[in-house]
Amino acid sequence: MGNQSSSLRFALIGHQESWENVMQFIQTMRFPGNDNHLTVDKVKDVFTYIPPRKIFDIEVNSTLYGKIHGAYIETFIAPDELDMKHLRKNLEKVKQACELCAKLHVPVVSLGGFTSIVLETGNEFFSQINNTYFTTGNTLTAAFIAMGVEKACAYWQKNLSKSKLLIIGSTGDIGSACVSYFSGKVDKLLLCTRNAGVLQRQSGELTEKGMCNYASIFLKDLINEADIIISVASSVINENDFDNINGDTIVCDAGYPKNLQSTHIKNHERLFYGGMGMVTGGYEFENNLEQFYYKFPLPSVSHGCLLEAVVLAMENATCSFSKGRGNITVNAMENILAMAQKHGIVPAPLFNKVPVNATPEISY
Amino acid sequence: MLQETLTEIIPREQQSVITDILGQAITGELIGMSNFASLAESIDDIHEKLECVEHANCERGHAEGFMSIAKQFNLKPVINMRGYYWNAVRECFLKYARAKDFIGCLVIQEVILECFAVSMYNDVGNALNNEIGELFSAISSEEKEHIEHSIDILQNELNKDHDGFINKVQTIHSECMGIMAEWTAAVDIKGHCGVCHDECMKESLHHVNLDLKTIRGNAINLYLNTLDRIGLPTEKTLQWVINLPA
Repeated sequence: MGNQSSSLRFALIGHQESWENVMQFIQTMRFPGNDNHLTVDKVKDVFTYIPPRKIFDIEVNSTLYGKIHGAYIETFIAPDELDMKHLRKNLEKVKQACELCAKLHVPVVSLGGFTSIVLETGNEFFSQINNTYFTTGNTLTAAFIAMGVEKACAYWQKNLSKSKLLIIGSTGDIGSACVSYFSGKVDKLLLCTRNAGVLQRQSGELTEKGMCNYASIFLKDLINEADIIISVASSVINENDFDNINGDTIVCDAGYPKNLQSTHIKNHERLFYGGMGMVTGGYEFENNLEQFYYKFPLPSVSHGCLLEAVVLAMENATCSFSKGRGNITVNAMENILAMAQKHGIVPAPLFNKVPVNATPEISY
Repeated sequence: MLQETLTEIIPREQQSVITDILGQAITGELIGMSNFASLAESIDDIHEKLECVEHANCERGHAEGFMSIAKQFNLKPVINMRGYYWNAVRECFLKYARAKDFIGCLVIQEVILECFAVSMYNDVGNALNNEIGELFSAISSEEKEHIEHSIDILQNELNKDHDGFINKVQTIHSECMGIMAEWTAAVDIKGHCGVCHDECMKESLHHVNLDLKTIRGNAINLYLNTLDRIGLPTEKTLQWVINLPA
């Protein structure tokens, strides 16, 4: 793989979800023999001052057309600065990363994780810069979540149509998509988000359509009733509300960073990480860097938000496929999923723990 | 304007750190002046030679400006071009000047040192709400022009010999940026700098609403942005910075 920017068909703009990941990434860049000890505190002092930049090339194999080349652009947003207090600084970093992609003449770019906020806040300037199109990747993520939940229900023999589905972050872009998808497919929707006004509106609209639902900004009001939980909130939930969760409740954590961090929920038997896809043709980072800090219990797995740009590139469908908030339709989810599957990109088998050498507790 | 109306009273707890900041600035400008003077000797092109002398004169003016304002505020900064870090920087430059390596000299003086100057002066200028701060801000803007001047020249060098230029800059980065990294570490890695009066001024920066992490971070940000603008591969320059002494 080389660094010829003209051959880049896609780019992925992202950030790390933990300082542990950051340190793993940093270690891959240390020169052999450099014995200056680098602590995480020393890295934290400098990390956010690094300007967004391309740090490695990626090759992804389409089972239909073969390899395409792309790149990963790191924003150097601190994993513990994803809150409102740092919003302005983080937006500036994402904008710089977008401008870099345009400078590299990349046709289509996914804004992974938090970075999608520039498009979700309705900033049209960043849906396209010259001939570079940006997408949040949320449509494919939502599609993978939906498929994952259906797989999980089949695996654990839970009847979806008789289930009560709780969506944490229900009014967000992906949350809204999940609400649309599962409306009419489940017995009752339980809706939870921070903004009471927006939540009330969502609940009202569902009620008008005849969809049974209950909404609350307090998770504890909803959790015990839930048979299935999808967590797509924009922040980590460190609540004790999950301590009394029913043992047979299926939990899908599709947050980045993971929404559900308590020890109790991490040990929950029916937890899986949603929104993930599998590239059956395989992918490779330059210098095999994926082995060091983008590893999962299963091979060739990746986040749906990142894969959306890959799929669009494979289809030569360079466009801002996902943008804004609340615009994802079931039809769009089906379309992007079909496009993906043509190239061998499919919903990932279910998995939970992240370390490479962990034995997957679940497989499909 | 009357002398007494120009001079504001600097709070006592700030006097020492501002004195030391001025000491570092003056010493740094004199190093810059000396470097440009040495560079004028090493290059053959008449126009570049003249330009180097002009730059040296500019740095002289900056040094005199800082010295003048120190006197105005009755501050007595230490000027020590033989302190460990400044001397090491000077020696690094002279190695390339003696080899008549104009490009190497440019990278040291007009990229590495000027990035630190522009960034740090900007931070000091924003922090000090007085004439001293205004002077730092003004000089920061002037130093930016030196960086701009060098970018075009270095872009050409990169285009002429891509791999060779990258290797050269990497070597210089390791030598010169390594010294700057040691100097700006939380604790001076190689001991007292020889410019601060007593204890290291890093311990007192908070008295003037500055902190070392921000100062160093901003300098690294400008340095990396400058290398990006020149066209150096971003993966490599990131790796260079990650391997600096910390």
